[in-house]
Amino acid sequence: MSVSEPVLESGRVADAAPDTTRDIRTEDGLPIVKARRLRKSYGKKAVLKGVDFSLLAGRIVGLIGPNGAGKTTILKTLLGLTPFDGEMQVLGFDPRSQRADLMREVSFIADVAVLPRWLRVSHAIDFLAGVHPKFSREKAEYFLAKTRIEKSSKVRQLSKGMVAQLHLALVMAIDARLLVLDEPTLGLDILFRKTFYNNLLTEYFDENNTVLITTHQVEEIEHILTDLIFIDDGKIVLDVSMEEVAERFVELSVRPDAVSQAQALGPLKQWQMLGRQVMVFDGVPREALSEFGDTGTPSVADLFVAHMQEVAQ
Amino acid sequence: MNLFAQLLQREFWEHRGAFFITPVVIGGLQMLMLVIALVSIGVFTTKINGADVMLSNSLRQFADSSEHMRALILNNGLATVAWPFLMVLGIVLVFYMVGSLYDDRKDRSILFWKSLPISDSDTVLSKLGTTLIVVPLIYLALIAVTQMFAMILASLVAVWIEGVPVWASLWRPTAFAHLWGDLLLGMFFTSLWWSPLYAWLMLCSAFSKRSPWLLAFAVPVGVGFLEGWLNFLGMIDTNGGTIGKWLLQHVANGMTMKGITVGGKGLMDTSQGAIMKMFDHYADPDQFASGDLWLGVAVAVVLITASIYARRYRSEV
Repeated sequence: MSVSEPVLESGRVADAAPDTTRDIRTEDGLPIVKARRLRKSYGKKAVLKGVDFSLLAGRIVGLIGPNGAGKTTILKTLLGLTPFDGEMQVLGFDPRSQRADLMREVSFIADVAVLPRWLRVSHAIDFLAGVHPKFSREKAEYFLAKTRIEKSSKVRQLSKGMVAQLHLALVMAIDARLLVLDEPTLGLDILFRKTFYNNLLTEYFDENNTVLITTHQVEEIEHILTDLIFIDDGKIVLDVSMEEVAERFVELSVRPDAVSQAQALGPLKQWQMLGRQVMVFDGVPREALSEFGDTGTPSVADLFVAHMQEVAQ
Repeated sequence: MNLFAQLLQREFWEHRGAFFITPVVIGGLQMLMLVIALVSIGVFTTKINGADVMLSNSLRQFADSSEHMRALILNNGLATVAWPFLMVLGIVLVFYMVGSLYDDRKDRSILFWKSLPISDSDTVLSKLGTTLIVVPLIYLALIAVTQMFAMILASLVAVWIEGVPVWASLWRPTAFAHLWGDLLLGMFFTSLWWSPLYAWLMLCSAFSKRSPWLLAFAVPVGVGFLEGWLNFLGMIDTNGGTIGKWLLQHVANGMTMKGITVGGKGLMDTSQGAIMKMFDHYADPDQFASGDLWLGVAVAVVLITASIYARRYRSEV
């Protein structure tokens, strides 16, 4: 974006400083979110115990962890909704002190049910058009036209699925650079969930924006993710891209006679499935494993279970 | 539309019932009562104090009375129209303030509002502005509309029944500018007098986890109790004066217009028997010189600042 700008023209650098939309840190391949040593406690209970991560532009990142692992707390720190210790930079802003500015570039859906019940659909559009410089009324109306939502309806008259559709339509009409979704499809039926992610992928996502999703239903977002972050008990336990997953992790369906040999290579986890032992390995070459059985890439759900093993036991 | 206007619009959408429908109903009810009264004495012969009262006679009497008398009757009558509006306005605004920064936390829709590029101070100030300026102006406009309706109705009846010259007997003596000027200025002073209460309710609304109402009452009661107890133990000696008494004297008096003497005039001094006089006091510009008024405003500023901070990190209940 800033390539066409005469960045080095002397005397202009200082003037240009507040214009964070041209911040060099946000260019492709460089992190748009940087979190360092995030800590947060509620009373005596530590929820985040020193979390570090970065998000790159043009990625769809799944933040996955069991209940109470700290997923929502991470999102809240990122959105400036809660105080915390540590460093957090989002698109060059400090979410604690520059929340209103940050929200011009970031959208989020915290939960499907949070649109105010008294709000009329047409008023929601008018309001966003009035307060959000990056909101496009045309886009919102285009997305809504594909649903059965009437513009004269109030939110309280819509079904839960329609509220989610409305919220997504409003958010997709904002040309944000980071979209944060916290369990956006919780409690919706399968049809709504499918179209929700389909719309997100086909109508919204491109190389200029980043999506961060938390969800319990890993299987449903697996195919759209480019990156994975696993969090457990306030700490990050895995932070990889999907390409790395394919390179690093191997799921082996072990031949019955090779179980002990395979075990010697130190699987992350093993379990019984349809009478055969299944093992997940980290960093063991696929060729080395193929002699013990059939190899494949583990699903995100299996990978998740493999990393959460300690907790389960 | 600029951001702040949009925020005010949002408050109106959310509270259309209290801000608009309610005053319309108040005006409508008053008009209904006026119609019933006119019909009662117009169609039926009604006895008031043992004497037969007929509309045509009354109208004739009215038209024949002196201009000064007619002005007194008309202006006081029209001023009376405003009272129910002003009473309800106070109640509506207190309820609105108590819920202002709490309701959206309770139903979690705050997470939607906080996803938009709106600062917490803009949010808080838009709600305060709604209370101090927007809603009083809406009520004022509807008071004026109701008064005009009453005048038009009276004119039609006067022409139709008795052929009274409407302009000279009804409209010329009516001091609309005076009435509305008093109301406008009076509402302005009321907003200032009430601002510390509104600000306190707002802070409770922003801070409370369970019930802003409870907090709004419990804290003053608790402070009063503590004060009394420490006095009783002899740990402090406030010499009979208490914070509560002080508040009543300095703030509450202005809020109720009771006993406030500015320039030697009691605001509730209605010995003239004229409601117009009361409105003149209500709008008395000498109130500007009241130290208590500005003390209250200063307290409000502190409480509002605290509300903005509370709003920042109290996202959910």
